[in-house]
Amino acid sequence: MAGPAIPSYRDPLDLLRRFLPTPFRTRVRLPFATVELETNDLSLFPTLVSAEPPVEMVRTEQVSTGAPASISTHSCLWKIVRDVDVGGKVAEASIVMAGSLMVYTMGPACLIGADRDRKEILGFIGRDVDLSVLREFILPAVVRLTEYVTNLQEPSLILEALEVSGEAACHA
Amino acid sequence: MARLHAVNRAVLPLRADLAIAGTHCAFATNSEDILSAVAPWRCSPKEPCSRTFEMNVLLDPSMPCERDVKTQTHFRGLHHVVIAAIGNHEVFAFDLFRRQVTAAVSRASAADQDLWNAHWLPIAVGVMGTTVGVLPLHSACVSRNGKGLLIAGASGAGKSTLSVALAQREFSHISDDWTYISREAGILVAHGINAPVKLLPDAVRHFPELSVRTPKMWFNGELAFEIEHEAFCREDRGRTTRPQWLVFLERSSSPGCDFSRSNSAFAHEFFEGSAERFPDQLPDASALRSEMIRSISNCACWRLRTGESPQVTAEAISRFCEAN
Repeated sequence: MAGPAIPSYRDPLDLLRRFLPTPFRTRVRLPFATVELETNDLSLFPTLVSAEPPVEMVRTEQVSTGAPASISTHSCLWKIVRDVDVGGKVAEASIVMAGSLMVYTMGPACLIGADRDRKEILGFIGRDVDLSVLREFILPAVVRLTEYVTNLQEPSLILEALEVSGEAACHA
Repeated sequence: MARLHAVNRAVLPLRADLAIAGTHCAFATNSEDILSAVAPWRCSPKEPCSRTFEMNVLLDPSMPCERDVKTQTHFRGLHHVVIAAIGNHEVFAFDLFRRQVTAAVSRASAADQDLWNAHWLPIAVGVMGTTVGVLPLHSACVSRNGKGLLIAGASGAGKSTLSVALAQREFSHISDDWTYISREAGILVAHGINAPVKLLPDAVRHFPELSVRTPKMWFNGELAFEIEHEAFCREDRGRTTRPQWLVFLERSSSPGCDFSRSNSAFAHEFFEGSAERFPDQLPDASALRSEMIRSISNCACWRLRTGESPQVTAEAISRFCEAN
């Protein structure tokens, strides 16, 4: 699949890509939360419409880079970045739970951190991740993670929803 | 299906307190191999303090381990979260807000002692250091008679080769690339990490003894020789010193070594301008880093333009240190 037309980002003082521009801001209304979405790739948005459960997009605007998102106490932030420097398909999902931080990865092409205390979901999606993978795996996972950060569900139920393999699970 | 690793510190039974470059790492794992690997860093038990970060490492024996750690480790960060994916399965999560590193690794990683000593622990300090008051400074460092010489400069200026040439003389080698600055009882201390020195392949021009070695691929994709300190250090008196001189190294096409006095404003601008951009979500760590940069910039600063080999430049520095 050809990657989206997003310029490659290089900053020698930002090796982790923390400051990769996310010029598009959208408010997404889930049945249980209002989400401020920051992204650099609008092509992610149509997939939200068909996500399960359904979500509603209520506002889209392009803003100057670096402007902080305003988060109300009843909403959370999704900062989901298309990482055009990372190719390859997604792998088996892996979840690391560390206190209030849950990290959901599917190999380098999908890295997502969900912070319950800060109500933030922060993610990088590789350039070769296509809409079908987004629809089938990643966005449903993001919605479940949103249930986690908004305290809608107990973590155990969310993990169940994320289809944790009983045999592979390792509860240290 | 997803593979879950609930890394609950309370039930990671194996614990160690580690002293790494001025930080205190409260380490926990379920793997005897990993605990053994980090043993060189162990210190006496300490209560958590402002220098403490937690590191919780879970060995999942069922995790696949078909990967090359150095070429397939992928780092990304947003806000206070940094994630490193090793291949498709192993994960390190760095939470800078809570000063916590959490990892799930395979049996192969657990058994690879070099991986912990030369890579993951230094990386953990590099990522977490600023949050616990330790400044990672992109500079080499050597020491003579307890006085530290920090060698800064742009990438490619020759910091690493010069540090090795100095270590072959009467200097103790502290670090070749990254030096960690802490404040102990009001006094700045420079720390090194006992990681192998990295020299680019063309260093063989100055160090013919490298010709029998084979360069390796590093995390950043660079090909470089990996040399243990013992292979070139005449003196090995530990990994800390008190910074005394700050030398900014510049390559010159003209022969000779030229020292000129610089000032703290130049040093401050250099270090602030070359520091990794820091997320807005961590204002305290950012302020602490700026304060540390201001302090280290108050060392006696010099600019050194050299068109000479590392050995000749090292000789000039040796004379300079005697005179200053």
